[in-house]
Amino acid sequence: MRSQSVRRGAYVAFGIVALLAGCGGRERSGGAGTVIIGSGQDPKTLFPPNADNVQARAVTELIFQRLADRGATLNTVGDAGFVPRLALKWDWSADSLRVTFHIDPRARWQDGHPVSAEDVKFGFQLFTDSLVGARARGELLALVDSVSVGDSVTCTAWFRGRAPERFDGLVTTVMPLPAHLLRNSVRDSVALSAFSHAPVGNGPFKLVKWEEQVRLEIGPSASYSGARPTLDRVIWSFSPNGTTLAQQFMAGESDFLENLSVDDAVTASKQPDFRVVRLGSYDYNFLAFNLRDGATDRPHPLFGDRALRRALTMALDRRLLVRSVFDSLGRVGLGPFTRAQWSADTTVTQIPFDRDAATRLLDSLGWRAGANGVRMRNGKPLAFSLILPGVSAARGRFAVLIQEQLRQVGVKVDLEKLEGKAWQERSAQHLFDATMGGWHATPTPTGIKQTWTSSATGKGGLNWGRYQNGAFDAQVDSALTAASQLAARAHYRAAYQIIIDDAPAIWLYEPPLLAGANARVQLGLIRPDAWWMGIPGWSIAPGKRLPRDERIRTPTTTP
Amino acid sequence: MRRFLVVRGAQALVVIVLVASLAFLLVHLAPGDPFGASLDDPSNDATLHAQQMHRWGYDQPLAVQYIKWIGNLGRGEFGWSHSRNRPVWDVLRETVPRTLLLMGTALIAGMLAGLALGTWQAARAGTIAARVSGALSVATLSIPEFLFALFALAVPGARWHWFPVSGVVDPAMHDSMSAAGQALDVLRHLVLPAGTLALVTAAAVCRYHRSAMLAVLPEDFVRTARAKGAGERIVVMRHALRNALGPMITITGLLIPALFGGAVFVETIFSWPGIGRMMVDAVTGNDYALAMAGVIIGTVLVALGSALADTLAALADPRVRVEA
Repeated sequence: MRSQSVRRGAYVAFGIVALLAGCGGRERSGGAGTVIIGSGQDPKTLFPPNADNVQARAVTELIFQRLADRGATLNTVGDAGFVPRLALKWDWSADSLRVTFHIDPRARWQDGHPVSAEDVKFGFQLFTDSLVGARARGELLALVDSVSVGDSVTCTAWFRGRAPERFDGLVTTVMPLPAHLLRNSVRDSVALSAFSHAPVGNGPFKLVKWEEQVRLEIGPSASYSGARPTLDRVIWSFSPNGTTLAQQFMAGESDFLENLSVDDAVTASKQPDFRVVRLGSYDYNFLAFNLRDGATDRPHPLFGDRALRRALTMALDRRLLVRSVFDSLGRVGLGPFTRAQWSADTTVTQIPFDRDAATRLLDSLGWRAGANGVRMRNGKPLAFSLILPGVSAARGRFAVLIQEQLRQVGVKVDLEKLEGKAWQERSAQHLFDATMGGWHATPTPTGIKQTWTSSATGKGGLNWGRYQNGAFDAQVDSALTAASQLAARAHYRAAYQIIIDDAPAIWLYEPPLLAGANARVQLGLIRPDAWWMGIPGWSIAPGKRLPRDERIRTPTTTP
Repeated sequence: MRRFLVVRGAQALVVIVLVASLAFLLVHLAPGDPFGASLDDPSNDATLHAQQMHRWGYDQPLAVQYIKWIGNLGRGEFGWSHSRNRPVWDVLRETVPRTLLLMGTALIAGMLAGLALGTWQAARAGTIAARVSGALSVATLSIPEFLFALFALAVPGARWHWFPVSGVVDPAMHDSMSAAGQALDVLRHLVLPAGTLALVTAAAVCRYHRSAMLAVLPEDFVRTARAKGAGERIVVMRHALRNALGPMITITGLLIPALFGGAVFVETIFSWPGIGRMMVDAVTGNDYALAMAGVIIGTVLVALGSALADTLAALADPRVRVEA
């Protein structure tokens, strides 16, 4: 009797499990495919002026179309290499202080309304309105005075000066916005309006559905006048946990993982179903010395000395450090730039790794070996603290390796692992000896002014170590105002050489930015500064289709 | 009974206000603010930052902010979530039901499994099987929940492909399913996270219930039932089990805070977009309003669970009412 009921219970349990494990959708047919992208963050908003994180940029840049876009060279000086998008062409005035765009008359918003020059002007107004709070507002206003309308498909941007990157600054920032939908919105709440969650764009894709923190789906826009994207659906599936995302990818639940760790990349590369894709990295990381004493303006007792900074740089085998942490996937940092930027110069002379030379230099500076292995001078040890954010595993591993390598030349390093925000505050307030820093740069190298020049040493400035060199500043200023890319490149090179020689920081690494792709997805060319821009051309390999690739009807949240 | 309920309700209210006030203080004392630059982002604009802080009143003295916040809370306004760019109330409307579904499923499954296992262990006390099973229960209680979660994620999820490893629904197929299919889809996604929570709950319930059963089984009324010729199954299920269930009411009240704490890990690991994950995001993103709303909801859940357990215990045993 009992065994019968136990067996019956087991059958029921098995039936439930089988049902749950095997439940699927209805039969479907046709369709060009679905790609699911595993992503660590939700976009938070799809209102273009406030689309700050990568996911928001990716989605808005597929839903909205700009006037023009960077071409394959990723040049940011002048308009060379830029490709037309919403604007079919553009003309410069004789004094090159204004540029007139001719908009594609076939362009339509996703509600069928024509895209007009007024929409471009309106977009510029919103991007520069302090009530809207676009992060790019300051930089945009520094370059562009205003946008005026000629006729319905002609608008003119008026520049404030002849800054070499004014065209790039305008077209890669401003997106046209539908004035007919948003003009009557109150400015200080337009960014918080329903439009930010259900935007009406003019690009190749339209928003189909967005369940915050869960998933976001886009599909081809019928109103787009350009080529239709190959895929039927692109779905972002959100998870804050990197391990979960990796498992989801390995289980085939997602087709593309936009941030693959080095360890997961090694695992994925061994399986035929997956590919590891190297995305363009604009990050560079460094150990920055504080050249001033704490928050005061006095020189730092150790790092005010240029020769000591050079000796410490010389004592580090950066190639070994990078290999230890990133295997063969990372790259040694060369300076305050990344290899993906057009201004990058891999021929600048580096301070070489030479432990013997470092030892001799330290000796010559009066730092003699002490009893406990730590060098001393005037009774003071050659010791400093290195602060680092605990959230960054890579920086943590680098810090430990640096500690060991410097110990070998008699330098004592105390590691202070801080909570992310605490680390950032300590760094910004200059309350450190040395900090494990890192910047996310962009294709344009102009960020160097905000991070390493004298003008960025003040309150709120990002030159945390307060490095100052007039010659460096002059070269940067010349590069920023050079009329041609060739001239700018020469000034950038000179600036890079000066700062590398001065060693206000040890340039450690460019972290690998890796993605994982299921072999069933054909990706095509990946643009280094924005991998998602290739999505319209992605497709599913023949013979590798899944049930989710079939065309299905889904409810839409777009008005 | 009425006085008892009023006293319990007042106690719960005091706890909620105290915890919420403490959370307000701690959240505001933490480094950073809702508009601080993200790590490694050099595009931080100090002017814009100051404007945003002023606009939302974060530049006012803490006491002023607190009074405003309490006032808004009294009117049922939780404020605006800056990290999600919408009212906190909207976020709660989505996340709270998901967490309740997760916790409710885990609680029911864990209770049923724990009661069954505890009863079985007590009935088979002294046998090798019961001892092994007891040791396994203790081992389960000793292992942190996130380890079970990682195991469930890696093995039945990623390796065996039995169940989806993350999310609430299938992102590509859910909308095309029938209503029953959609319900099953949610259930499939619920198996690993709820199963993880239920496992630990079951182990705890099992240990408590086994002890309660062992205390009841030697009682006179059980012996009488046996003497009257009732089968062992009837004796255990009908006489002993019913009388051992009393302490479980209190245990259930205690399990709710533990479940809520566990949900924070489990929701993060399985990408279950409930309150736990919401709070982690809110705290890391300095989203004051959302973080405090999460604390309040958590406190309310715990206080309600505790009050409910006390009330049920009072209903079952009048002595509890008198002591209150």
